Amino acid sequence: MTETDHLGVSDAPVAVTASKPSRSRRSATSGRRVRLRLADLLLPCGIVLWAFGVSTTNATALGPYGLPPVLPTAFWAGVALIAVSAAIELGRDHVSGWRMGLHAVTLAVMLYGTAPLVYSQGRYEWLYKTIGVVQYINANGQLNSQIDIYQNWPGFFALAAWFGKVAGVASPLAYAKWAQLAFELAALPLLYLAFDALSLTTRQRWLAVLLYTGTNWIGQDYFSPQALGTVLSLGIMAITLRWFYVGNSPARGRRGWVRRVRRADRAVPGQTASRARFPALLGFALLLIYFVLSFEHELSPYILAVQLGALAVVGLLRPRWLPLLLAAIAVGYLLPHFGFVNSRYGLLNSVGQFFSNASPPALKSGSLSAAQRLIGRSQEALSLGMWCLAIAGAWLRRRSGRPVLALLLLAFSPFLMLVILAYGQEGVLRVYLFSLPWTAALAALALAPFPAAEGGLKAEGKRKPAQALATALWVPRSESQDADQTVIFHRVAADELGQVAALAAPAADAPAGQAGRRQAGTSGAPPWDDSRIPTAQWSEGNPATAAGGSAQRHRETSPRGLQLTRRGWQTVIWLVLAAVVLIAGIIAAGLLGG
Amino acid sequence: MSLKFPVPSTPGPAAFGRAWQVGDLLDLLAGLIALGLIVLVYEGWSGPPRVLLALAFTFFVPGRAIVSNWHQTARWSEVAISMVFSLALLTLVATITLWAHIWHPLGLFQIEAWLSLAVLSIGIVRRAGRRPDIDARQAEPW
Repeated sequence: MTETDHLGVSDAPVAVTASKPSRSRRSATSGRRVRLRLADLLLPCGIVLWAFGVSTTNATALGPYGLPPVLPTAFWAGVALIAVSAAIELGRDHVSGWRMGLHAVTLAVMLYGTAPLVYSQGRYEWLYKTIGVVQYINANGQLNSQIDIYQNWPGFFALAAWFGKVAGVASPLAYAKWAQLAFELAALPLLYLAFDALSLTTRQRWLAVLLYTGTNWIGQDYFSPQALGTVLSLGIMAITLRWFYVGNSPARGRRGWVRRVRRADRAVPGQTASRARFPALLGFALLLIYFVLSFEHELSPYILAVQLGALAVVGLLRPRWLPLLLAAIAVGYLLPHFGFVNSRYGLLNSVGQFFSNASPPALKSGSLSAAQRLIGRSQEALSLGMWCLAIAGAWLRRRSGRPVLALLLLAFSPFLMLVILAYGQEGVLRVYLFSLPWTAALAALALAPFPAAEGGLKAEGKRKPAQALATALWVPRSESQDADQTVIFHRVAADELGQVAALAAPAADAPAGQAGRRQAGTSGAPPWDDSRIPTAQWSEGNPATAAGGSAQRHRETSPRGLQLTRRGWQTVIWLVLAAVVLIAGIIAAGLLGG
Repeated sequence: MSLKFPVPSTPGPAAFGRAWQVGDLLDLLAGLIALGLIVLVYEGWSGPPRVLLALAFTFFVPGRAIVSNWHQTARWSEVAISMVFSLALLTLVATITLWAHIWHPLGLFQIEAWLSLAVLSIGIVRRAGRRPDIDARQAEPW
């Protein structure tokens, strides 16, 4: 349990804690009793139901809708219970970091661990192409760049071949089906770090992490270069946003919207932002990781350079030449391989064909079955729904004066790539993939806006109907899949429903800026990020942060136990009803499909 | 370079004290993973334990060795950034050996594992050397 959790469960008056250090320490040590929360019961119940459901699943005969129709009710009840539990926990005044971490991990295991548990082999027919390349390296101990594009971007395959020898397995078939779960779990802490760097509150961070996990239907995370590329990209983003992003510092003479947005993130009065020299060593590490990404995956480095370039153009990234340097690395690696790639895939043919490049792959194929059409439409609806929610979140965040610009640029700049290439008609899928972390963050802002920075109390009151509507929306998460033409059709959305409960929290909150950000970041620090916990004591020693953080600390730490407000109970009722509708809908869809 | 960047305020002594404990624990864990895998590889055992240890090594150990000696990143993130460093480093080295036609994955692993252990040890020793100062500062009331 974290130190912050000690404070969180303490009954000591929090406002006093900020001003009287001695009592603070006493409260920190005496308040070690952990109050049982509803989530502590719902989470294990959900896991048990899910495990029982998986153990009784028979996936030997699948229909056109794939796995979902054969998954028993217990499975769906387990997933729904986790969503309800997460929603209730997110609706509390004090969001427990380790509890939310457990929820995020559990949700990822449920969504991405079910298929490897019920299938004997990995799904997706294209998985076996990558396994073939790994086996080629194992057999020959070298590459042949004339065979295919994989041998020209060999990073992932070299790592996989090395891993296979170290793990003592004859073929990646032994573990490949678990890759999806491993990469999704690996993405969670990196997402949290990136969201933290963007000044999101604890509640928004966790909601964004859950949204990302629940709405990533692309299926890039199988045993493939794109899976490793996504993790490395998130790592690069986390480092960049933490050390090179200047959106949290005072504005420097920018005009209009940009200046207004950036000015809102100034440190609290009296706080002098400490400055550091250019973090040269971190810059070198960043370039090295980017170089690895450049020979690991064909597309990821370019989308990343575009995203960071967009930040640099508006002055949110320093040094501004950093994206140019990154692009030079990627292009420098591409040039020797350009002839091969262009001759095989007609790289130049798609330049300037935006609308053609943006067409989803389903439209390019021939006749589709009703099930495939429904799945395709669901995917499109989910993507568009998330983008619309992101725009709504951007609008709400603009009014609360936070750096919405950075998130907007990160979320929508990947579309620029569609001007240049189609990526085998998968360009739009990759755009969604690279947009998703930031889209999820913006969507989290729509569902859990900043609690009242500047006159926000009034604004929050205005948002309630929009939130209630948004949180009542259920978005389907689907993914077409594997060699047997089976389809898994997830529905996960209840994460966002709990955000109605967030409205029950007191409106008082910390000021914008470094102090508030630090306070927010520490109260819900995840188990993998213990370095940021310290806050209670050191902020007391820092007059600026102590003054600014007391209000938020009160909000984050006031004990509630199992008590729920009237609005909280309304939320629970909403959630239960929505869960019933969700499960009924899925069963109906499965029956219709069968 | 003379560019200036904002950095977070310095955490207080209690934060450092706790960071030491977490850091020691993670270093110890990384060391055990590396040692366990070295033994399994040396003995030629195979099976799920070896696969799991290999997975833990790939996602954590070399990066942890770096972060353990790099306080700037350790104060920021103990685990997540270790994972990124590990994956990037192992991918880089494996690919270079492929390009250089010196593909010996198990030999490469031995070098990486022993080097990680050595660097982890340095990190632990360095941290232990600073601990008395930190403990003394912790005693001061805030």
